[in-house]
Parts: sequence; C-alpha cells; structure tokens
Amino acid sequence: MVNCWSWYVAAICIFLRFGLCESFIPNSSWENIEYQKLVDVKHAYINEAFLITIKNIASEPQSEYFLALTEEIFEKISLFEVQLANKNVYVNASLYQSKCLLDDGSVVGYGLISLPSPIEPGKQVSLTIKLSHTAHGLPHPEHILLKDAQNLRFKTARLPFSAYYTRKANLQLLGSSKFTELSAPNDQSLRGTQRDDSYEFQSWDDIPPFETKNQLDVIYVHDLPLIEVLKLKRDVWVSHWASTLQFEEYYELINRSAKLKNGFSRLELMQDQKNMRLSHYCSVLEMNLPEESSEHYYTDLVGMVSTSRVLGDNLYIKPRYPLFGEWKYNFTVGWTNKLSTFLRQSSKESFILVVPLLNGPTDAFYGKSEISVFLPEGSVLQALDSSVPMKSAEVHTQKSYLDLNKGHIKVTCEFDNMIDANRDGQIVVKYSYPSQAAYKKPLSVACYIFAALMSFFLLKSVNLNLDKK
Amino acid sequence: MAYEQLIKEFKKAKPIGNSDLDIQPRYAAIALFLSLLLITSALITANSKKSFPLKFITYTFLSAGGSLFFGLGAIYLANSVGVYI
Repeated sequence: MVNCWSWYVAAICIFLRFGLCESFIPNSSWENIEYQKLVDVKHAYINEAFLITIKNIASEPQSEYFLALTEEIFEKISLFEVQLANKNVYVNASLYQSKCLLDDGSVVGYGLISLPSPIEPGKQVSLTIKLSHTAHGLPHPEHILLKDAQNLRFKTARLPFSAYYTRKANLQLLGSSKFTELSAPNDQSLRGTQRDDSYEFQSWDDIPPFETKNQLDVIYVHDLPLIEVLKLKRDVWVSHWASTLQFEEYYELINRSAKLKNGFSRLELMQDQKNMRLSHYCSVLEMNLPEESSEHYYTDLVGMVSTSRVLGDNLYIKPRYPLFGEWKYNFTVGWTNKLSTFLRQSSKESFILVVPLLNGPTDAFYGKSEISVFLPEGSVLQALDSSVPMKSAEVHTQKSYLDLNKGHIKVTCEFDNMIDANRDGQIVVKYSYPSQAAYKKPLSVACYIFAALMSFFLLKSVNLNLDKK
Repeated sequence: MAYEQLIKEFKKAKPIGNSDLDIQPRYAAIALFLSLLLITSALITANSKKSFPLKFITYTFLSAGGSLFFGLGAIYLANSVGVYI
C-alpha cells in the first residue's frame, strides 16, 4: 500500500517538474559575447547592473532577449530597466510570468527584454540593464555590541547565470571598503581581489547556460541601518475648493540590522553618540518632500511628536527611541501642497492628477505599500496608471467632512517590493469633475439647513392649544 | 489608457489656478454673517402677525438665502481651519 502511494506521489512530482519546465525555456538564439556584472551593495537594497553584448546566432531575426534570474531575486525585484548601451534609448522590459525548474532543483525566472527592432542573424547589440532588488545582505554575525561595526553576508552567482552561452564574463562588487569571501574556491581564477571600494574578479571564458556552481558567498562592511518599511499607507486628498493636495502617510518600519548582543544600555548609547559616527542603529529618518510643502505634522500612536525639523524640502524626524536591530516603530507624517503643482485641466470638466509614488525615508525598502488617492465628491474616475507595475487597483467611496452624498472617490493602488529610488515614479489619475458637482457640496449643506428651518416653521404653525369650545 | 499617453496629455493640459486660502476666512465670516442676518430675519418673520401665505413666502425666501450663505460659509470656514473640503 505504501509502495503504491509513494509511486503515485513520485509520478505527480515528475509530472509537475515537467509541467514547470515545459511552461517555458528560451530558445538558444543568442550568445553573450561579453557579460559584465556589477553588484552595488552600498544601499540597504542591492543594485545590479549588467553590460551585455549579445549576438544573434539563430537563422532568423530576433527581437526578444530573456534575462535569467534566480527565484530569490525574481520574487523581490523593485526596478528593472534596460537601455541600449551608449544611447539614451530605453527598451521595453518586463518580468516574464513562467518559471522553470532546473536539474539542480533551483527555479529560474526571466526578465523579458523586447528590442526596438529585430536583430539580423550574425549581428550584435549591446544592452545596459539595471536591476534593483530587496534580497539584501543579512547581518553576520547576527548579534553585535552597540559599538561594533556591522558586517553583512551576501550570496550571488559568481559566473553568469544566463539562459544563453557566454563567451566572456566578469564580475565586480562595489559599495564597501572591505569584502571578505567565505569558502573561497581553490581555483585562483575564481577568486576576487580587493581594490579601494570594490572587489574585482578576472574574466572567465566559455560559460554554459544556467551555470550555478561556484556561488559567491561574501561578507562586507555595511555600518548603516537597514530600514524596511513593512507597511506603508499613503493617502492623498484632493480639494478643489481649497486648491490643496494633502498627504498623510502611516509607516510601520523595522531595522533589519544586527541585533544587540547584551541588550540596550543608555550609557553605551550616549558614549557612542559622542563619537558622531554612522552606525547600524537608526536615530534619524530623512524624508524628501515635494517642493513648497507646508503644514507638516508628525505623530505616532502616543500622540504628537515634537522631534522633527523641516529644512528646505527635507523633513527630518527623530523616532521616540533609536531603532536597533529588529526594533520596530510606527508613525504618521503629513503635509500639504498646492494643487496646481500636481493637477492640470485637460478639458472643461476633465482633470489629470500626477502624484509622486513615494516621499519616504531615504535608503529604505518597502514590503507592502498602499497608496490611495481621494478624489472630490461627485467626480468620476476616467483613467488610472502608474510608472511602476501595480499589484492591484480598487475604486471605492469614503465619506469625509461635509460629505453628505456618496463621499469621496477612493482610488487605492497596491505595490510590493518598492525601494526609495521609486520616488521618481508617479501615479496618474484622470477624472471628470463638473462644476455642478463642485457646487453641490454647499447646496447639500444648504438643503439640510433649509429643511430644518422649514420644519421649524411648519411645526410652529400647528396650533396644539386646547380650546374651551 | 497607457501611462505614457496620460503623461503626454498631462504635459499638454493647461495648469489650474489656485484659490487663495488666505482670503477664505474673510469669505467665511462674510457668508456666515449674512446667513445669520437672513435666518434671524426669517425667524422674526415666523413670529410676526402677518397673514399665513405672506409669512410663508417671506420666510421661505429668507430661509433659502440664509441656508445658501450658511452652506458657503461652512465650506470656507472648514478650509480656514485646515479641514480642506
């Protein structure tokens, strides 16, 4: 009975394996003539750049190139952009949905690059690919003293992890003054060399597709906090009567740095702060706000927090306590801007609103982000889009002050895996807002008051006196 | 509608004017004062000894005017105290 059951399960697993692989494998229509990979570990998230020269080795023109990505990176991509090398021309790039299970059990995802024009057989083209993801380095060791410098451990493919054969490749790590390789291979040609702020490897030749051997496991100095925004709720309120755009943001964040070894000591903290050095704990958050913002406020669940300062377009907030490794904090910030900076009128009743995606802490990465735009009561949503792919978009109504009819139109967009560099992204909302809808608001208030006054008059006119007759 | 198309349309569209927030408290005060005046007149009319039809018509017009100014005043007052409608 057990044997039959195990055969049955094995058959299903084999079917699933073939099912996953048969879903998609790129054709061997390209060859990587040169494959340079740069990994920048300076930030809390990881920036990777690929400089790839590819050649069409098929017999027909090709216009699609698949960039292979490990599952860990594929699930945590924040930015993926492609340009033709040496030209300021962006190329269509997106994440391909199908994945494949390799022989060694690893799963590969793909970034799909659609070239502007097909490349003829035998011709080459060079691409510059920029990738940012939140599969960041982990603290190593996990527990350190307050005064210790923090090191992070990061793993990546040493040799090109590509769907195509690679003629020549090299790798460079940037962003730290010291890199140390763990479990360095015996082969000297695979080892790297420390330079000033980089760790460089010599070139390798003739690498087969999906090369997963000789993984690079490296420790580097990164004595800065790793701020992760676990949840962001950003509300943007549009007011035509006041010509304002109000922003309110609620953050739940955590510092993913190394934890304290001996617990917290205020004496140690005060001694460390005298040194005025950057450290793995976070005591100030810097936020870049839109130009000419006003009416700033900063609160948390306890109440108003006075430790904040506005300098130019930057808001500096100081949490009630410093955030050490795995310490959490939540707070709300808000400010107001003039509506004319973000809104334009495309026709008599039609408006287009462009709202920045993020204004949060610098050098931070985000888990779940929910951005809601509240359009005036009586408006009708016509179009919605964003420069960054949305996980979902919903439209509801929500009542607010003096909303006596259906309420504001609430357009909610959800995003995953954003980074602070996404602040350059935008959400665009097109809606119609007739003048009648605008005047309906004071008329609605007037109707209630008028009804109350007329009711008073009619009740007063009724004679309830008892007459002797 | 694609993002690029919307951005192009945004760049071609004309900027909107700004209503001056600083002057809205004054508008609120004027509107609420007029509203108070009209509603008080309406209530005085309701207590007067005129004929019912005349009283009703006068009261209706005064109440309607007072309500309208009250509605406007409420919007401007809310904007003046930072509750943007």
